[in-house]
Amino acid sequence: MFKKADIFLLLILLVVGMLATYLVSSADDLGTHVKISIAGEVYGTYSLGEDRTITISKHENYNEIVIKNGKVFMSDADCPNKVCVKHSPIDSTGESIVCLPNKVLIEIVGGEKYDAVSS
Amino acid sequence: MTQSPAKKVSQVALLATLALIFSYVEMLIPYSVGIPGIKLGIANIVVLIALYTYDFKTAFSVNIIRILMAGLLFNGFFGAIYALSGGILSLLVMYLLKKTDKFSIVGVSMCGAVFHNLGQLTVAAMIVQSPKLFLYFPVLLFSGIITGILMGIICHTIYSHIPSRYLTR
Repeated sequence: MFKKADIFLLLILLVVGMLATYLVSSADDLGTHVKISIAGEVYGTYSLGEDRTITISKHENYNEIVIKNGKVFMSDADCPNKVCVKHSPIDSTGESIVCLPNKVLIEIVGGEKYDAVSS
Repeated sequence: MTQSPAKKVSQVALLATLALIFSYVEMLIPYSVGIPGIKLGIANIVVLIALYTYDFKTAFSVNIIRILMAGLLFNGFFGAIYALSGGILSLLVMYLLKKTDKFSIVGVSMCGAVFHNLGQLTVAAMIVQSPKLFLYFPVLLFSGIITGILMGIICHTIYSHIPSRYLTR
């Protein structure tokens, strides 16, 4: 049923697979948590894993942050320019959304490497 | 190799119907591994048998008809696009491997499954515009190897049981 060439082919594919696994596990870093800070003060840290909506109404300003499907975005804000609301959802460590007028900063944190096996 | 067009049409139609039924059976099997894109690919058995008993053209027609019909019936438009890209790439690879005559049907099936996944992933990454989808590549590659070998063994068993009088073109 199997030929020598089959085994050879299988070995090639396995090597490619292992290389790809290695590259994937060392390359990207999807964050695990969202850190929200206001004017430099940490407001709270939330897991990217569970969907939720966070409403901030501090300093008479209003921001609404939504965590959905492992991504974060600003769904609403009372700032004049709405740059933060227009920002596309973020999910990788180091990415951030800033609402300058309200001094709200959303950051993705969690340096854990993306693990293809555990996902 | 002369044969009537009517015979050809009915051959392709029969095989395509069989492949479509296999697609449906595949949907009925409740196995969820939690990762989208992993499936057995039992419809590929029909395509592979068509490739071995008839020719590339027959297998290609069967595959296209199967994918378009399955798209209309179960998977929807986008499902059909994904499946089409995977199906065409996989069939091309299987055809080329078969042509070299160095590999058994199991090896051909294994490569076909891997390239099916690769084709789908590429189109998916293009549609979503996110290269991050390639993070799934290793998972799909290994699952392709496993399911491809399984289906290849089934193909080998079926193929060796087809009486030789049916293998004439």
